[in-house]
Amino acid sequence: MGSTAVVATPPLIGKRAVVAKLGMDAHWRGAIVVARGLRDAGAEVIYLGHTTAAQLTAAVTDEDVDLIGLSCLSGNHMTAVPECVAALNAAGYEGLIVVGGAIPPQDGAALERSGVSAVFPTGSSLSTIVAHLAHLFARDTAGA
Amino acid sequence: MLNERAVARNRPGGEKMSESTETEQPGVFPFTRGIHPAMYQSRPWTIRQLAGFGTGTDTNERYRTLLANGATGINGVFDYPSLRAFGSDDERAIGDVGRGGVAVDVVEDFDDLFAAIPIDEVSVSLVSSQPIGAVPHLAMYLTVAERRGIPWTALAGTSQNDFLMETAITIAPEVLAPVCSFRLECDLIQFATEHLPKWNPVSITGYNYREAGADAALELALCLAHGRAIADELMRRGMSPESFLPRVSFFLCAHNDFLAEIAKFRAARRMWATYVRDELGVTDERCQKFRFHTQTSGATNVARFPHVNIARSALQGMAAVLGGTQSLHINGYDEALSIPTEHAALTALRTQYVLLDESGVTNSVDPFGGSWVMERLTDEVEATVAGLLTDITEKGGLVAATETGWVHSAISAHAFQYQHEIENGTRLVVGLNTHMEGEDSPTESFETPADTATRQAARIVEVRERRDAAALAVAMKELESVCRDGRNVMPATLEAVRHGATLGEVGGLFREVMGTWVPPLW
Repeated sequence: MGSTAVVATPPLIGKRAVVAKLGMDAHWRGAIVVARGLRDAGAEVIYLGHTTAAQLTAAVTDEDVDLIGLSCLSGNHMTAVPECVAALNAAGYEGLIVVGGAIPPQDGAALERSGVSAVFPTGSSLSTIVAHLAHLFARDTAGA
Repeated sequence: MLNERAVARNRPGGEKMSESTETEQPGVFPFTRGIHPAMYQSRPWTIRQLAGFGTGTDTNERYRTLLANGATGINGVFDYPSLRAFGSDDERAIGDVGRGGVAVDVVEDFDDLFAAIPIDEVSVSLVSSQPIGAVPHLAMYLTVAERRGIPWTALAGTSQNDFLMETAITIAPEVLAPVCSFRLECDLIQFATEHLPKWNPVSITGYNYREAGADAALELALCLAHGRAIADELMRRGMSPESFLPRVSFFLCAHNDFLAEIAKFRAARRMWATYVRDELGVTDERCQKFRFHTQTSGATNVARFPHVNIARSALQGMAAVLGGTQSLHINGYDEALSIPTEHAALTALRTQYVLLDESGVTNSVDPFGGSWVMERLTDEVEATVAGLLTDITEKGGLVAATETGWVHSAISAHAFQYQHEIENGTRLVVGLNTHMEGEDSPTESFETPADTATRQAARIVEVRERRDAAALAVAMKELESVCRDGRNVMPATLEAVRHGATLGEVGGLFREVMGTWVPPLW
């Protein structure tokens, strides 16, 4: 270990993220903690609060959003998330969509098959989330 | 950091215990050691397991299973649309109808919910956390009692009814402003004080403040500040503190730090009693006693090894009992994944009986009282809470501190700090950042009945078709007018639901007349 300090570039620098809650789910703790974590990792974060598929689509259209993080802890994910994914796809959204919250493993797998890039269940660490997102962005850039 | 804490809990040689330790006795002011002299030897805590999903009929079955297996009270949780007084047919509600709680839209749903349950004998806690829902929920519950010929005076139970739940903790679309939500809360308390002698019209919800991120001291400070706000407002309305204080109740979290949590419960009693006696000048002991329900901490539960949560919850439940709780819910082991399966719910219920019948903790009262560590921890949390109470007073009280976002930022700062402690390893969690080895243990997750939204929507249509539209219009007009002119909303809400007003219609009217507010969360 030498004395040269290496200041790492924040992994999500230059990325614009929207964090939202769907339906009536009330638990905001995870969404706010993750929103702060994304901001600390360099992203510009917009916390939309509660939103519907239509409101979310309207909010991200023409805003050059790279990442949408949806938070669900009330069990509404199998209804609300596919609806959002469909609306976003129909509107031509090309960024990442990820979901976090109380998501049983079998539901997580189903969501990933239906167009969600990653599912982060309760207990996922911020460092895991940020590293995984950085990996997804790098993969997309390489594939582009 | 953990080591420092361990050192701090060893009694340094020669240090004297605080004077209070020598003199405090259970059942005697300031009640640090418990509100009854013999505590559980005279009366066990109420075994009150939370339940709610699907329709009223679905949940009624779970209530009856729990009662048949030893539950001694009902703890009924509602789905989010119902908590927020949105109809199950609202476009934004669909995905949440009947999930995480029971869906209720009309009085008939409450009929189904309590069918064949003797509500004049069993105490019923309505986890109507948000005043906008608590007001119509109680009106519907009272209407059920009327229909069954049960006098209101026989009804024992609780409305959670906490404006912070609406404006800071479990936010949702179209929130009322703190001052409006608080007004509804106080309207309900005032009405219940006059008409429902066995009802706790508020359960100040420290539990959820904690689950949203607050630490023990902030949880307690928000509770006590909330109690003060209620006392101030009801006295401003001309009520005597002796009339309402005996039925003001609290709801606290039992978190992981076993001894510190017990200390928190002890400090809560001492601080509330001291406030009531010294600041309100009330000498009636019934008013000074801090009575509380406890729930084990859902946020501490880990999805990966669900069965380990049984151990966590048992320890947390024991802290609640050693801390002198009046009633207890122990979480199901699978609640990091879904609402509890019947197996998980019954395991949690039986855990309560392990505490009650097997552990021996009921044989003594406040057994840690006089321990140097316990008394020190009690004094410490009391001092921290006192500082926070001064901060809140300087912000103009709890309603103003909510309006400006102080409450939101205090809670979310703690939540973020907690997450960092897990990530940097200063807070160890089995299965999350330590002892990670091994396969995930599979568990079944609860499947909510899929057609709840459809069934509820059909019922709303059916009620709308058969109700007397003209009589309802008169009742809704009156509700609108009391809402505008500041009279108590409870009588007019009762009249509206008797005439078939739906929950969504009542909530919609409150939102329209009082206006909505965006919580300063971010």
